[in-house]
Amino acid sequence: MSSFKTKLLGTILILMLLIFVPFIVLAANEQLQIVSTENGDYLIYVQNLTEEFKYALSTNKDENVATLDFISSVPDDDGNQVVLITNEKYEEIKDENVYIWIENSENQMIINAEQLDFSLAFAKEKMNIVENTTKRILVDTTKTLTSVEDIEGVKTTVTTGAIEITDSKDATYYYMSVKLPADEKYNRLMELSETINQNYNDMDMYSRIQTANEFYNLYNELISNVQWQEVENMTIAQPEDSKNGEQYIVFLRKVEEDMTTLDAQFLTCYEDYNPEFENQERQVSETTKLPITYDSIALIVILAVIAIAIVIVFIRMKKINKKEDK
Amino acid sequence: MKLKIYKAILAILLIAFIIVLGLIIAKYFNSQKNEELNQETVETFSNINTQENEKIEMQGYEVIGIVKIPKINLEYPILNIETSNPEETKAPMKISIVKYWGGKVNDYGNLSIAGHNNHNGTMFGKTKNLEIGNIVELTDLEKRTIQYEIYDKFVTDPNDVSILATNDNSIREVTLITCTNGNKNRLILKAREIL
Repeated sequence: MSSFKTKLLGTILILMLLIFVPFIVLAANEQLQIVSTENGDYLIYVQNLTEEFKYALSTNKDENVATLDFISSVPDDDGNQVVLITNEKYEEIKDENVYIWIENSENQMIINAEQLDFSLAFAKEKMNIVENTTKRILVDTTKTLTSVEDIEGVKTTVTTGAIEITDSKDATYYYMSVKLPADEKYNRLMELSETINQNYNDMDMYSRIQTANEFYNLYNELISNVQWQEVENMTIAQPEDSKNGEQYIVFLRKVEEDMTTLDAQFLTCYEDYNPEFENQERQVSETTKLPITYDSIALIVILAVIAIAIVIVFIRMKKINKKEDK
Repeated sequence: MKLKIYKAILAILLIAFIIVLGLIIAKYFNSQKNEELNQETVETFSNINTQENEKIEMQGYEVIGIVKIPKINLEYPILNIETSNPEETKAPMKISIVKYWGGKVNDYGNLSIAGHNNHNGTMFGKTKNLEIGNIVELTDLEKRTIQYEIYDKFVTDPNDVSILATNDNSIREVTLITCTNGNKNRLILKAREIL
């Protein structure tokens, strides 16, 4: 092969490596979720790996697999199989580049010399924050507000949804409502809340962490930019001009003495317009006839009959008079 | 003898004639007076203060609007009669056009108003001359005048109350009711708001 062709091939190969290796790395990293616990331990969850597996750690990326010391995964508090890196172990390796190999129960290598990035670890307490969102500030989301309005001349009872704060009455509350669709981040936050609400219990731990991680980051970002307004009468009406079925997010803040609590509610608008036709419908069942709108001609008929009778009597009288004259 | 009897009969008939003629003349003058009163009420209605929710009455009945049909030169107050009993509507219908069924004037839904088919052409006496496409105007207590276009004209029997119903709450309709064929049938004109 000519020198030029060799160089060209080599360049192409390098370019391909540069393009594709990051994807491989990213793809592999996406298979791992690292969770840090309160006592400084780290738990590593592997995507789609629910059975017991084996793993090995090394600071040498090029270590011969045959020489690696594989140990079994352990169950977490919920029985999920994890790689456990204790606090002591973490202290030993935290300043070094650490790589992990993982074999499944069929001795297939599914993770091969992947570098662990502990800075990406998701704290367990953050998961708790996510799982307790909507529960930290007590509210009743089934409340409705009713008003009577004149809409286009029709007296209409308008019923809309509202939130009633049922938490401590000694605290001061603030809120901000965001009607959807809005900025894509709010839309995404609503999607994640629905996923958590509907599917969380059916998810494996890896998926839960992944979802909670995204939710937490987005929630924190958005709630830090809220324009707070004070809640009046412990009640928050749904956004104006809301239509039945539209979604909205309500960010909440509770301040009691020196403590601040943040929370959010993810809601669907409700409205109902009830024009005052009820009386009308009742009346239809009570009337069985249309009104009588006849202009009687009885008097005219009677007058005509009397006139004819007068003429007849007059003619008769004339005849009698003629007979008597004869 | 016979002549005497006939003379007595003639005298009675003449008296009866005078009485009946007097009643007819009185009815005519009452009708004229009623028409003047109706016109005065229409003028008074146009001057009411809507901001103060001013109300006017006509011989004890609340006036809730005005009906005007330019084609037959008709303009009357609409009386609120709070009943749908045909017998109880007789008295107010001698005075003016009455609201027989429905909500307020110019409310969404169907408003049914009724008037006598007078032989002298007053009240709804000329509505038989109306055709599809003619305009009916209703003015309500907010002095808002809305035009309705007649889209249906038919005769039905007095028991057909289906014409009173609202079939579509999102549009404004008015139904005009009067007698036809003596008292045997009802002439119905249906009009819909011009949008």
